[in-house]
Amino acid sequence: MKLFSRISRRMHQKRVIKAAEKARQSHRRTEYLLNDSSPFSLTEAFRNLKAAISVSVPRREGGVALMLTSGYPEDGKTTVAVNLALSFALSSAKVIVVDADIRKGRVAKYFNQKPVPGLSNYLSGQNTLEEVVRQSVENENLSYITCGTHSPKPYELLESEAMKKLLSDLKQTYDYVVIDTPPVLLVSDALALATVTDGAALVCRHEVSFVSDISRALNTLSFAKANVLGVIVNDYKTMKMRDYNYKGYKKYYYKSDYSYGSTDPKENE
Amino acid sequence: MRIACTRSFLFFVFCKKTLYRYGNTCYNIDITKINNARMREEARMEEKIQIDDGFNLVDLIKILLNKIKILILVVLIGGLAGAGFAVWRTVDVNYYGTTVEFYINPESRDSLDGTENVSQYGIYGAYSVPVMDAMVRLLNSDAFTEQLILKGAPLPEKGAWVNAGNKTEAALGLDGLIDTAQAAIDNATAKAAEAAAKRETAEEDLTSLQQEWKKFIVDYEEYKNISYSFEAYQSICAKYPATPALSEAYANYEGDGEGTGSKALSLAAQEAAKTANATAQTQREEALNAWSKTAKYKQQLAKYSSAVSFSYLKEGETTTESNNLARSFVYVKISVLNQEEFAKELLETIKIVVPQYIEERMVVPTGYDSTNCQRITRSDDIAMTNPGYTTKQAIIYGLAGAAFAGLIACIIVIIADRSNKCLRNYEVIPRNFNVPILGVIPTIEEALPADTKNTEVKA
Repeated sequence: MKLFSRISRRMHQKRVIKAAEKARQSHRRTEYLLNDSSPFSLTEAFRNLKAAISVSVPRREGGVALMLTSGYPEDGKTTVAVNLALSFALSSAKVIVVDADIRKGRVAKYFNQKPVPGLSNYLSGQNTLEEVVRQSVENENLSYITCGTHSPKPYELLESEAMKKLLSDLKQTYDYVVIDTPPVLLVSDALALATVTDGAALVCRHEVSFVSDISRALNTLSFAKANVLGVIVNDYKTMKMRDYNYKGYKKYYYKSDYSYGSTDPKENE
Repeated sequence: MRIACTRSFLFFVFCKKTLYRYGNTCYNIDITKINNARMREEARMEEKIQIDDGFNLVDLIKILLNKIKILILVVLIGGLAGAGFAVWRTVDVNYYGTTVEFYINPESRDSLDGTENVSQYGIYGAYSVPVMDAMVRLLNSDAFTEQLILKGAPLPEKGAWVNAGNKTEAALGLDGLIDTAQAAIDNATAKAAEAAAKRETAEEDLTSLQQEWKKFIVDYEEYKNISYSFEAYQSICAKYPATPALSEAYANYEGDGEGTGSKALSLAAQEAAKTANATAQTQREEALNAWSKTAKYKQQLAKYSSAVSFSYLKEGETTTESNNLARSFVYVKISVLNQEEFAKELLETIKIVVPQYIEERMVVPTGYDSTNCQRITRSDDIAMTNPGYTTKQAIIYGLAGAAFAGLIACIIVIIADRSNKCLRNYEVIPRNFNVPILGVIPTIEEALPADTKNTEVKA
């Protein structure tokens, strides 16, 4: 039964990842942003999320730094982060989205921009803050910082004093700083920001993420002294029948030495 | 002083080792405790998740409906496989047969006028159940089956067993028959025929001899009247050769009158034929005994036994009740697989052998003299008894295959789904991890427009 469970789990993950890749190939990232044509259920869900986070984060002077992470890739944390920031912006709050996923950042694609220059360039001193902060065309209250050039030491960059200073500066300027981080069970980059953010939210995907993985991710965040605000359930299916796309398989291993991201910058684009 | 220093040094060494050991122990205990606590916590969470993960009929139906296309496909494949298997197995399965009905009734001979009349027993009476049971059991036995194989012949015809090796088994009907008695049987049969032939010629010879004898007697009486002459006697005897028949006729003539010699000859011929028949019967029994020990005999026996069965209607089970006409009928059912010609031959054999056998062995009730058995079915031609058999089997096996495949597929689907421990009910999270749900975001892909070309900006 355990063996069957492991086989089923591996096959299930492959199928879902394949389906997600196909969906990405067929739709532009910009279409994932909330707009006037978005369904009411979707916009209302993000409003509720925004409200929940607003009451969950302790009130302090200055802005709120919120970290979004997940257990494994393809859980939708970047989509949730960008749309959450957009929801805050729609309510007249000044928001900035920081793509802290230096290995494989995707925030730039949501705004149809190039990732360079970005956070890694700023943290390494190559660019100034003004050069990396960009204004969103979707909403004037929304800004974003892309991931930047791929770095061989992303954890060190995120743990550096420059990052802490950046966050404190951003909290002075913006009401909300939404940070998109890498999956916590694959790489340790997110743990570098656990103590410098005001709250952490774990994004999981309905009928994709395993409960045991959610448990491990929460434990990891707890041991890293992160202020876990709660869990965001993404891609929740309704009562109608679901149809997975099973066409073909692609190797996508969740091994301990999984190379999240690539040394080739072009592969991250 | 030196002692104090030594003691101090030893104490220092002792303290160092102790502290080192204690420190290491503390260090190990701390890490171990942390790891154990963490592992216990994860195990407890896992166990709690498994316990709380309920399962009911609605979930079961939802699981099956999610995979309805696969289940339908599997059921169709299972049905086709079952039907194909049935067709493959039964495409050449044709049963040929019929049912023959025989009526049995006892007969009595009217002693007053010597005429023979058929009793009315069959209408107003019937055989008892034990009698019919015994007869049917006898008909279903190997002894009668052997009669069918040998076609009920009391003696083989001359030449029937000749050249047994050159005849086919089907023509001979006696597989593996040992023909060591062939010569003796033919010899005995030939002697019986010769003896019968001799009987006719012996009577003719005797008639001519009697006529010659009369002439001899006339001549001898005439000689006696003339004079005694040995030479004359010899010349008379020389005219009549001393054949064995004549010698025997001479020997029997003097005391028994005319015709005695021919009677002796015919008796001798009959004795010779009887001896030959007995010899032939003995030889035949020996041959049959030897034949019955062979494997081919057993095969023939099984083949005939499976092809024919006997029964009678058992209406009125009480043995004392005799007014049951149904117990006067014996039904013979013939059913042969794929061998129509054999079925026809068997039918012809049964028409001949069964009445003879029943008449010879049936119990004759008191007041009756014999048994009469006659076939009463006219339209009993051999026909196929399982038309549409392949189609029926295909339907049955197809349904069975579809049901079995569907059941297995359902079980596999349910096991696969239950073994998939992904997040289904998000209420599990706050219940098990004591962490709130900040928000539930519905599927975005369904809200997106149709496929559009990916024109994302690339560096």
